[in-house]
Amino acid sequence: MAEIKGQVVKRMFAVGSKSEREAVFLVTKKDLYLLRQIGRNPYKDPELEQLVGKTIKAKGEIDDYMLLLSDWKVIED
Amino acid sequence: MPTKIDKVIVTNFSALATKYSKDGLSKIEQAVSALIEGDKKRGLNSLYIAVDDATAMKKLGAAPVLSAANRKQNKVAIDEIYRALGPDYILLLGSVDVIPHQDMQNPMFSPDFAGDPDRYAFGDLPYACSQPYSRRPQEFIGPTRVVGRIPDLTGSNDPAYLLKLLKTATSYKQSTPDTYHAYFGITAEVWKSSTRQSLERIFGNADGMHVVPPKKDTWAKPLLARKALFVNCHGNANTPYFSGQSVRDKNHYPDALRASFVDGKITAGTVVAVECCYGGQLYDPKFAAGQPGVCNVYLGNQAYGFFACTTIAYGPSSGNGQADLICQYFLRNLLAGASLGRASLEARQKFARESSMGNPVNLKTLAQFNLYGDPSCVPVQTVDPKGPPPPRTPAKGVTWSMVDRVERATRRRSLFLEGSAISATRPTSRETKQPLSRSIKTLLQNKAREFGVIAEATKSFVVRFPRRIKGMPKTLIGEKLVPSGYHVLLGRDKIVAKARRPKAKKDGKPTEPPAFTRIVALVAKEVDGKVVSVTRVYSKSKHSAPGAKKALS
Repeated sequence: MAEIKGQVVKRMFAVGSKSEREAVFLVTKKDLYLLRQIGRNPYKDPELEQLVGKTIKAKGEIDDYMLLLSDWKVIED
Repeated sequence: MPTKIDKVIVTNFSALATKYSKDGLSKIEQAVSALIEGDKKRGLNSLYIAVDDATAMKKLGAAPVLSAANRKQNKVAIDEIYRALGPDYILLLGSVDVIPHQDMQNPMFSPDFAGDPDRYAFGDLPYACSQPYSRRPQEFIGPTRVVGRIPDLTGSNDPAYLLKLLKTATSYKQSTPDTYHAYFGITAEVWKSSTRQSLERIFGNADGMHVVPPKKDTWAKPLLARKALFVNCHGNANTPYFSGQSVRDKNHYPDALRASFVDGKITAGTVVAVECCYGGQLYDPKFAAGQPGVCNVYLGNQAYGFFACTTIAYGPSSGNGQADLICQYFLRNLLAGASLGRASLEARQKFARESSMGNPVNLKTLAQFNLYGDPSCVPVQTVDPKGPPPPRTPAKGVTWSMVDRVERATRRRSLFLEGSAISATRPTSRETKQPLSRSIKTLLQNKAREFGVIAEATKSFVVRFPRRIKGMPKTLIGEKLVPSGYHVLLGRDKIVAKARRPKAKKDGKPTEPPAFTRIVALVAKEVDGKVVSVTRVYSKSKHSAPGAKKALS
């Protein structure tokens, strides 16, 4: 289980492929993770959308370029 | 005549032992023995071998795998097994935590997530190739071996799933071609034009195509019971469903096929080709609240074969390319009576032969599509048992299995030669970090403007040529005719939504129709320093245009 602090942003993902879409990411000082909640729709997750623009402390499992969120705390609006 | 090993069933005992109890392992052993018995009845000599079994590997002159996760050791071990025994079928037994997929470098990878985020294109392709271990997919464009995988559940400790799949392989029954021609096709609405073409090419009609939306994922049982399934929808990593997409509402991605819904409704013997991103990813169900993926569920419901990819896939929204083609080839071979494994090998070879392997999008496609299922299973019965006797019959004292073995060996030699010829003669490409020349940059910018594309990023590839073939006229490989490079521009395509053209205003003047954007990749082919053509690989979805727009660099 990883704990990562970063800012939540929305941006394009996988341009030109069958997966391309606007997606929600966590930007840290070093890395960029695609945010997902286990069991939620990867295309539209209103809970994650509400975090866009905020800085959070995220808890979850890292799977390649994804952070599979289990919990988070907003630390800065 | 010496007894030839027709099929090897390859696993890793220590990897299985870390997953299952002693009792579980013993049940797996029994199920494999039953499969070997079943194969024998079909005229196949099968051998069960573990890549980590030092004694067994030594007998073959091969080194054992010391670490199950070590991809290089696994590739070397399977190469050595193949060299020693020359089997007609290689069955990998277990998921990626038993025998790993090879992690080929994805030529489309872009650390900027606006591009392709997959660092690797995972797949079993290298196990099907004679070339030595490498992570470059360019080395594996000429597969020669028939390979398939019967996966267990990744991360699972319950052998029940694997036992079910082994039982399916042991007791499979052939069906007539008609049974497989009554197919079930599912497409995202945005890709229906491409899917229609695919279905017509595979089955001769698109009558079985179902479009999502407007259709929903609560499919009637008779549809799910059809024995051939073709899906061209969205897929995601660690996600147990595929999604459609609306033409009118770009953000509407309704579920198209859910693993939990289809469970228990599938007919034994179903064969599946899936174009969706991650359609064949063998993810650990813990990443999806315990729900295994669509691939695992189909196989668990006695589907015979599932052909799909492990990461992000590509294909045009109209016309056919990449994922469309390789899936078409697989199903067409299968309907013609090939085994699952040969259908997969011939699909890979045809794709490598007929699509440019200099194009990085094609390379990724070839690298990541895999066959899940027993490669020796032949689902379609092409000889009618009630019809007239076949023209070829065994000579006195010769068994049918010997006749089949000789014919199969002829096919395998031919496939080996074909794969070797592809490796020796097809150009591939490597990425270059050299900046674009001014003329190509200008041309791409102009093309982007002409197509209404807002450029976001580019990648360039230099074509690497194989040796010149003796006797081939110089003019055929002259630098003015042969592509020397590919340049991929990723961007957004601003288009007008004609389908939703609003009514005229009260003053009689027509209003501007709403504009939206869709994402495209422009693939420019360079010959002798000049771009000769630009192909638009349309994104499989549409998006509104927020976000930073970088200038073409």
